[in-house]
Amino acid sequence: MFSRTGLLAGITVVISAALLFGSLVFARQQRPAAHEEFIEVSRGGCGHGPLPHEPGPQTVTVRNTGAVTATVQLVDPSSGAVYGEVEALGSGTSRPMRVNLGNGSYAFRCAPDETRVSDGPSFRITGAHGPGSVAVAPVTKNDLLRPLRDYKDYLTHGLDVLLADTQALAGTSDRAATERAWLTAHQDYARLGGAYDAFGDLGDAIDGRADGHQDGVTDPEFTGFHRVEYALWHGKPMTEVASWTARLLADVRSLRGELARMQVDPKDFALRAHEISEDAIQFELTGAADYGSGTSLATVSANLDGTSAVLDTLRGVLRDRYPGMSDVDTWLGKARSAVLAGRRADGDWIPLDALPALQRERINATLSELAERLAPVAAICAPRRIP
Amino acid sequence: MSEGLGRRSFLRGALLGAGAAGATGAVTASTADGADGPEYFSFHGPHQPGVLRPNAAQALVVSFDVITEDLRGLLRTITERARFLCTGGTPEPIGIEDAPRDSGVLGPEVPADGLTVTLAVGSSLFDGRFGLAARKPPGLMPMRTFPNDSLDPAQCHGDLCLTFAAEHRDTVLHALRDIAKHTRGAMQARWKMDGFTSPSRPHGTPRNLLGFRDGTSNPDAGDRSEMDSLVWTPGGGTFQVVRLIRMLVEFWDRIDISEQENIFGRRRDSGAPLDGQHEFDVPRFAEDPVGTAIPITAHIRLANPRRADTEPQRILRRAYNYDRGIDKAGNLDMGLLFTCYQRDIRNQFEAVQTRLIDEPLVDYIQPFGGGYFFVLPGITDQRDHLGSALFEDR
Repeated sequence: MFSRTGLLAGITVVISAALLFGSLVFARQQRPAAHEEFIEVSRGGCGHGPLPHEPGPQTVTVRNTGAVTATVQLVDPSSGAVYGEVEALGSGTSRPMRVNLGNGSYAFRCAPDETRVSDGPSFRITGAHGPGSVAVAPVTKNDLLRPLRDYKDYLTHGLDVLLADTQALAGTSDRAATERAWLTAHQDYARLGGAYDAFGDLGDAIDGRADGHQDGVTDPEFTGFHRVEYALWHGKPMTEVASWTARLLADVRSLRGELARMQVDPKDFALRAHEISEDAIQFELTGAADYGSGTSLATVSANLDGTSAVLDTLRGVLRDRYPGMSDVDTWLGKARSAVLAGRRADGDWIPLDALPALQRERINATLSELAERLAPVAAICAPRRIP
Repeated sequence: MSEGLGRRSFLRGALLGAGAAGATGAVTASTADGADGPEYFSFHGPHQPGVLRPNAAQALVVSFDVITEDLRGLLRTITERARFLCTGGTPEPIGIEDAPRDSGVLGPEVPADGLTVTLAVGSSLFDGRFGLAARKPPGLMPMRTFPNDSLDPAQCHGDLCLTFAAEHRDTVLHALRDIAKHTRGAMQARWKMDGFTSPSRPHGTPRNLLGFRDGTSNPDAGDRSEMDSLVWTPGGGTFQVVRLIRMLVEFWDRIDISEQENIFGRRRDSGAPLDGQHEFDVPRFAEDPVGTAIPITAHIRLANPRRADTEPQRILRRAYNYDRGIDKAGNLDMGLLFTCYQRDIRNQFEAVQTRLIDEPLVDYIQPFGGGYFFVLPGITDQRDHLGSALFEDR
C-alpha cells in the first residue's frame, strides 16, 4: 500500500531507472526480476520464496517460473480449504495475491495446466488479533456430478411438461384460450432455468427476443414464445398465430430430443443459479421481454422456481461452504412473496407498469438482493483442481 | 471571506482561520502540484461535513425509498459504507467465497478524493412504517408545488436522500455503487441526478448553463455564527431542499443580452450587479426603489432584497449544473441540480421561492423534481450511526 507521496517517489525511481538504462521498456521488463520478492509457482518449486510471517492484510507476489500457465492458491494444508487464488497465471508473469492472514497454517498450492497439483512448504501465522480471510473448501468437477444429474432429471421432467403444454397451445384456436395456454407453456419454459444461452440456438428459437434481428418483431427469424405473444396480443389473425405456435412446437420437440445428448458444462452449471435471476432482472423486471401479454411477473415467478430447483441440487455441495445459504432462502422467500403480490385474486398477473411504484420497488429490491446473495454460489461452485 | 473565491482559496482561507477549518472539517494535504486541495473531509463531527463544504467538481443526488422494516440496520450500513468511502482505504481481500465486493472503479486502493456522502431523510420516513411519526423533525414536510413548477411525481420526494460530492466523477459513482450494493434489498433508488461545477471563467464564481454566475451572494460558510443562525438546527442538523430545474437553453440563447441581464439583474460577463462594476459589488436596491438600474423583477432583487427583514431568510446555495440527453423536440435536457441548506424551509427557501413566483426567468426554466429533506446531525463516535438519535429515548 503506497501513500500518495510514496507512489510519487516510486514513479520517480522508475523514471530515473529508465533514464539510467536508456529505455523505459527495458526498465519495466527488468523491474520485477531485479527488485521484487516473489513466491514461485511451478511444478518443481511450488511455494518457494519469502513466505509471509506477519498476520493481517497483505499482498503476496506470485510468479509463474514454470513453462505452462498455472493457477495458484493459498490453502489450509490440513483441510485444503482455499484462502486466496490467482487464476491462469501465465508463464513468466507475476501477479499480486491479496490476503488477510489470521492465525493458522498455510501453504501455496500450484496447479499448472495438464500437470499434477502440488503444495508448497507449509507455514504458520500467529499473533493475529482478528479473523483473516475466509477459507472455502474447493469444489471439484466430481462434486458437481450428482447435482448435474439431479438437474438433468429436473430438466427431463420439465421438458416433458413443456412439450405437453406446447402441444395443447398448438391445438387451441380460440384467442382467449390460446392466450391462457401460451402463459402456461411459457411458464413451463421459464421454470427450466435456461438462462444465458444455456440451450444454445434452440433456446433462442424458443424464447429469444426480437433484439438482434434486422427487422425486429417482423423479422422471420424472430420466432418462439415471444413471436406468438406478439401476434396474440397485437390482434394478428389466428392463422398467423397458429403458424408460429406450430414452429414453436417443432423447436420444443427438438429440444426435448436433444436433451439426452446435451452436455451441461459443470463450469456453466455453477453459474446457473444466479444467472436465472440476473436474466429475470435484465429482461423481465425492465419489461424488455414483454411483447404485449403483461405477464413478466408470471415469468419471474417461474424463474424463481427454476432458481430454487438449481439451488436444491447444490445444497449438499454448499452446506459447509456457504454460510449465507439461509439468507439465500430468506430472500428467495421474500422475492417470491413480492412477486406473488402482483397477482390478482382471479389469478391474472398485473402488468409491471400497472403496479404502484412502491410495489414495483419492492419486487426490484428483493430480486436484486437475491442476486447479490447468489453471486457467492457461482464463485464457490466454480470447479477447481485438487492434488 | 466571500463565496466567489473558488475552492482552493476557500481551503487556504480555512487553514488560516481556525474557526472556518473547524466548521467545514476539511483536512488538507499538499498535493503533487503544491496546491492545497482536500484530501478528505473528517467523517466525524457535530455536523455532516457535506453541508458546508465548498461546491465539489462533481455531485450526485439520489433519492431512495426504504423497503426494509429494519430502518436502523439500513442507516447503520449506510454509515459504515460512507465512513469507509469518505476516508479511503483498501477493500478487504476476497478469496474464492464471493465476487469482489469493491467495483474496482477507483483501482485496488480507494482514495478519499474529497468525497462527502450526506444522508438526509424525507417526511415520508415518518409515516406509520417505522414507528417514528412522533420523531419527525419540526418543519419537515413534503415539497410543495409552486405555481411555475411542472413536477413529475416519479422525480420528487423520497424517504432518504444521499448527496455525493467529490473531486472526480468516478469517485461519486463508485460511492453510489458501493452503497447500493450493500443496501440492495433494503432501499431502492427513486430518482437520481448528477451535477458538476464549472470552472471559474475567467475567475470568480462558477457559471450555470445560462451563462450567469451562480451563488455570488451566498452566506459565508466559514462564518460559524452566520451558519448557526442560517443553517444549523439546534440539534446539529439542517434542512435540505433539492430542486431539479430544466433550463430551456435554446430559447434562452435566442433572447438578447440586455433582456438576459435584466432578468437576472447582473452583467453576464462579469457577474457585477447592473448598478455596479465588479462581481462582489453589493447592489444598492434601496437607492433605486423603482428599478431603473436593476429591474424590480430581477432575479437577484427578488431572491435577496438585502433588507434587514430578509436577511434571516438567506439560504446556503449549493447548485450544480446537470446535463442529460435530449427531449423529444430535439432540445438539450440540461439545467440546474439546485440544492440549498437552511434551518427552516418555510421561513427561508419557501419565502424566497414565493417572491420568485412569476419572475421573468420562469419562461426559461422548468422545475420538474426534487424534494425537502432533513440532513441528520453528524456523529462523533466510530460505533455510532447517522440517525441513531431518532431511535433514542422512546
